[in-house]
Amino acid sequence: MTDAMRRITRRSLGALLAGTAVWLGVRPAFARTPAQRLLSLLREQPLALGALCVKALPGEDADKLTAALMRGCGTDGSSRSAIAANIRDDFAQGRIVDADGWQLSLTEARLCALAALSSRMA
Amino acid sequence: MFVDARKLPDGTVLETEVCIVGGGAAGITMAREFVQSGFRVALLESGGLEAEAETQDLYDGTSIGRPYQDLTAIRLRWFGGTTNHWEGWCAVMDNLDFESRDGVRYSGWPFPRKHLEPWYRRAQTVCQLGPFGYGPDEWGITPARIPAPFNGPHFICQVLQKSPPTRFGEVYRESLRKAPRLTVYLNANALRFVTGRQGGDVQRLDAGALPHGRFTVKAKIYVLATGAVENTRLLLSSGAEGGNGLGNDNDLVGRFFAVHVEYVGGVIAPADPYIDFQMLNGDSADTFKRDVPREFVSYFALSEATRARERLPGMRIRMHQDVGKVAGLEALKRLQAHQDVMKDLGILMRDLGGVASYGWHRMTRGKGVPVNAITMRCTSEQMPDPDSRITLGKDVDALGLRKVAVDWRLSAADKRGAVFNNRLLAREVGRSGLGRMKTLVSDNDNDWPSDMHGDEHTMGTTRMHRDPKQGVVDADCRVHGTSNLYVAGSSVFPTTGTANPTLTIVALALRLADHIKERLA
Repeated sequence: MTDAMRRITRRSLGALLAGTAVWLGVRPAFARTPAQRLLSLLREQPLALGALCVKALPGEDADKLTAALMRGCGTDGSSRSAIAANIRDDFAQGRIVDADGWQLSLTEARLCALAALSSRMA
Repeated sequence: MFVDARKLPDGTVLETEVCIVGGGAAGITMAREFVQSGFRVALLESGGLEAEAETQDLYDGTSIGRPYQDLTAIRLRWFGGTTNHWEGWCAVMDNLDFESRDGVRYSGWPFPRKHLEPWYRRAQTVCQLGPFGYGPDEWGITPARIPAPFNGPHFICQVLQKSPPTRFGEVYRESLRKAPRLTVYLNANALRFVTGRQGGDVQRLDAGALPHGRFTVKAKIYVLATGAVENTRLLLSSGAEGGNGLGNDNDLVGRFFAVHVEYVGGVIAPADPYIDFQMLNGDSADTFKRDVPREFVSYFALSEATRARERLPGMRIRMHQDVGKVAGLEALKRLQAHQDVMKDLGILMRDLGGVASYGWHRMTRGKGVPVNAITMRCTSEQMPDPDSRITLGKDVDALGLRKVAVDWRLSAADKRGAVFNNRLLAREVGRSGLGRMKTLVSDNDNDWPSDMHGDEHTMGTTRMHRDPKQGVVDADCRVHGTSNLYVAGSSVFPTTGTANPTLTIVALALRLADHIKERLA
C-alpha cells in the first residue's frame, strides 16, 4: 500500500466511522432503522457482532472494507442515506453475509467488521 | 347401545354389516354417519369410558431410529381416543399438499383438495367449529394489519380455528347409545384380520378383551381407524398365516412414517421494539365474532408458490415474544404492595427515564414495554421417506400382539428444506425492514437444533395411492388386494403438509362413510 493510499484510507476510515456514529446516535430510538438497531448491538455487546462479521468476510482487512464501503457511498463516508440505500439494495439483490447465523446485508456486515477491526487498530 | 366386551362369553361370534375398529375422531365420525342407515354397525373400542393404565399400556413400543415420543403418552386409548386430550386446533391442508410436486418424490394424493372440500365443510360442524374459512381476512385480520414480509410473496398469514375442543367420546356418546342398529363394544381389542391362504378379503376379525377373553367379528365391511401407528401394527399382524401382513404385498405398510417436525428456527431482533405483535403472537388465541365469538390464532407459513417453485417442504411459524422489563415500572408495581418501600423507591428514582419511556410509548404506540427478541417456532413438513417406518418388534403386549418398533428418520431433504426456509425467512425479515434474524439451523444435514422433536401427529404409514405398488390403500381408502377392508385416519395421508391433521381426518372419515353407505345401499 502506498503512503497516498494509506492517507486516503485513514481519512476514509475516519469519515466512515464518524458517519456511522452519527448515523447510530442522533435519531430517537423508536425511529431507528433496522440497521441502526442491529448496530446498536455493538454498543450493548461491544464488537461481538463485528468479530463475527470479520470471520464471515475472510480476506477483507480494514483497507479493503473501507474501499468497498466508500465505493458504495461516494466520497462522503458519512452519507447515512447512501448506506441505508446500499443495505436495502443488498437485501433486494441477495448480497447476504451469514455471520454465525445472523443474516446481514453485505454493507452492514462490512461496517460491523470495520468497527471491530478499527477497535483492534486503536 | 354400549356393551362391555369383557362380559362376552369366550368364543362369541358377532355378526354385523360394518365393523369399525377404533373409537377416536375417525371411528366415531363414521359411526355417527351410519346411525340413520339401515344396516348394523359394531364399533370396537379398546378402552372403556375412562382412562385405565392396563389398556393404555397396550400402546407401548420402542423407538429404534431418531428418538421419538413416548407412545403411551401421545395417544389415549379409551372411548374418544386421542381427542380426549386434543387441544382443538384445526386447519385445512394447502392445495399444494395434495399435488404431485416437482422435486418431491412420492408426493401427491389421488385427488385435489377441491375434491375434499365438501367433506371439509361438513367436518367443521363435527368438530364444532365456526364457518368454513381459513384466510386471515375472514377473521378480521385486514391486509393492513399484516406486516411485511408476512404479506407475501414468500410468507403469508393463515389462521387456525379452535374447536372447543370436541371430546368425541363425550359429545357423541349419547347419540351413539341411542342408535338402534349400532353397538359400541368397549374394552374390545382387534387382534388380527383373518384372510384366506392367498390373502384377499377379510373373512373375520379376531378380537380380545383383557385379560384373556376372545371373540370374533364377522362383517361385510371392516374399517380400521386406530391411528397411524396402530393401523400399521394391526395390518402387519394380520393376513395369511406366516405372511408379511395384510395389504403388504409391496412392503409398504408402515413405511413413510411422518410427523410434523418442530424446532426453534431463529430469533429476530426487531427494528421497532414497540411494533404491535399482538396479531402475530401464536401463543394466545384471539376471538372474533362470526355468528358467535370464535377462537382462532394466526400464524405465518411459507407460500404455496414459493414451496412449489423452490421444491420446499412446508413450514409454519409461530412467534414468541421476549418482552423486556422496565425496572422502574416493576418497582412501581411493588410499591403498591408496600413491601420494601425504600428500596423500590430508589429503583424507581433511578429509572424515571424508563418509566417515562413506558408511558410515552404506551400512549403513542399502544404498547409500553419493548420486545427484545422474537423467537421463531417452526413446524416443518416431513418429506415422504420410505425408510422412515414402523415395524413389529419382538416384545408382545398383554394380549399377545407384537409391539411396534418406530424407526423415525429425517432425510437430508428435510434438513436442507429447513435451512433454506429459515434463510429465506431471515432475508425477508431483513429486506422488509422488520429487523434482523439469526438462524439457528446449521448447514449440516444431520445436525438439527437441539430442541428439534417430532410432534404427536403420526401420519403416512398406510398411504393412499391408485397404484398398489405405491400405496397401501386406494383413492377410496380401501386396502389394495381386498374388497372389504378400509383404513380411516391420517395413516392414509401420502404427504402431510403442516396443517393439524384432525380436520382432514374427520373430512376423510365422512367421505369414507358416504362411500360405504353407497356400497351398502
